[in-house]
Amino acid sequence: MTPRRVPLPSRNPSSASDPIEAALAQLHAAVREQLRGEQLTDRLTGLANNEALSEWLQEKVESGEDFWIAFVEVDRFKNVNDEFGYESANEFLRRLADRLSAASRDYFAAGALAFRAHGDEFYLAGPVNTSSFVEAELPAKLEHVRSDIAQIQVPVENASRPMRCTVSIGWLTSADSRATSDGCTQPAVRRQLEIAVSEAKHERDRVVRFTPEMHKPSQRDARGDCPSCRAKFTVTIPLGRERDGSLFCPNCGEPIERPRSVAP
Amino acid sequence: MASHRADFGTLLATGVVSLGLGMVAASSVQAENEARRSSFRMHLEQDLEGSGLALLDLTIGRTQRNAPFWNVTLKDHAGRLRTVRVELPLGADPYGHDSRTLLLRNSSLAA
Repeated sequence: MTPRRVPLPSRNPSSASDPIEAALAQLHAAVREQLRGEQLTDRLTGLANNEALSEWLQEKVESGEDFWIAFVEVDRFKNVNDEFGYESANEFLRRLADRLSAASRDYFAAGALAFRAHGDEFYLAGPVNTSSFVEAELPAKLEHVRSDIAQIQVPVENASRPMRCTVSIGWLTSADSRATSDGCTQPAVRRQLEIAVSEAKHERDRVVRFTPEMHKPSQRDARGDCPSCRAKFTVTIPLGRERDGSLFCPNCGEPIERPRSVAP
Repeated sequence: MASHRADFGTLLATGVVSLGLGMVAASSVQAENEARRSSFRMHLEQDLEGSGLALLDLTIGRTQRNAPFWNVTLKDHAGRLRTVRVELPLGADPYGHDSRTLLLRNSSLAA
């Protein structure tokens, strides 16, 4: 006896003959989208999370659009966490997120976004439209953000005083980042913001702009002339590997000696 | 492509203030972007394999003039690592075919 062939269910909802199957497929797609959306959201605060920040930065670098970004880190957060407990600390982080969210709407007419990347690490970011915005408006607005956060008080049961914290803010523009020898890449921007916030944390409760002078390059450009084709070349070498392996001319492919001078 | 880039930030902002609906839409844009990036990387990986090179890392960046560049970290058949910076012309599409050709040529020569 020849076995009867049973038709396989269609994967494409538009071509599905069974309306229940089509509805299930649509539901499945909606759930998948919802889950993807949740992957971009920080559960504690409802802000966009580190993954969303990575995507935003990546898009800005890809497109070459000018942007600014500020790294907001709570001062001595571990100490207050130990003193007041994690529940109060979490409440403080939620209120801080609310302030940043409000600041992104109220202080920045061109639009800004607030992110919580990890723990007590937050970011504010937005587009740069004019140089006067960067030189005058943005530093003043970030100062407002800093002082707004310093006003937050979380009452704590059985504590003699409410929980309060200050923040240190490091910030930069895409042009600041591009002016370094590393250029403006996503990892470079994050490193540069760390440098600026570390600088701010020396005294705490401060806002510091990253400058290329603070920058420690992770690689160097070696320049020279090819002995075979006479072309001038530039080769990028990671720091610490200046004397490893052989080099080849990017123009003709012939081996070249390592240039004597390795310029930053 | 440019509209997708603009959309992600806008949708993200919408999502933050409107119960996550914009987040869902932003996640679709992110998925599209990721597909474009992984397709570019996959083709480059295949091309480099033909020259005996393994692609370890690929990072996009911008120079002081705002020209796009790629930092490419490669391992050759002898196991040596190289990081090469390949600068693209101002205004070039980093994910375009010309970009991949230039990247491939420079990576192969410098490794």
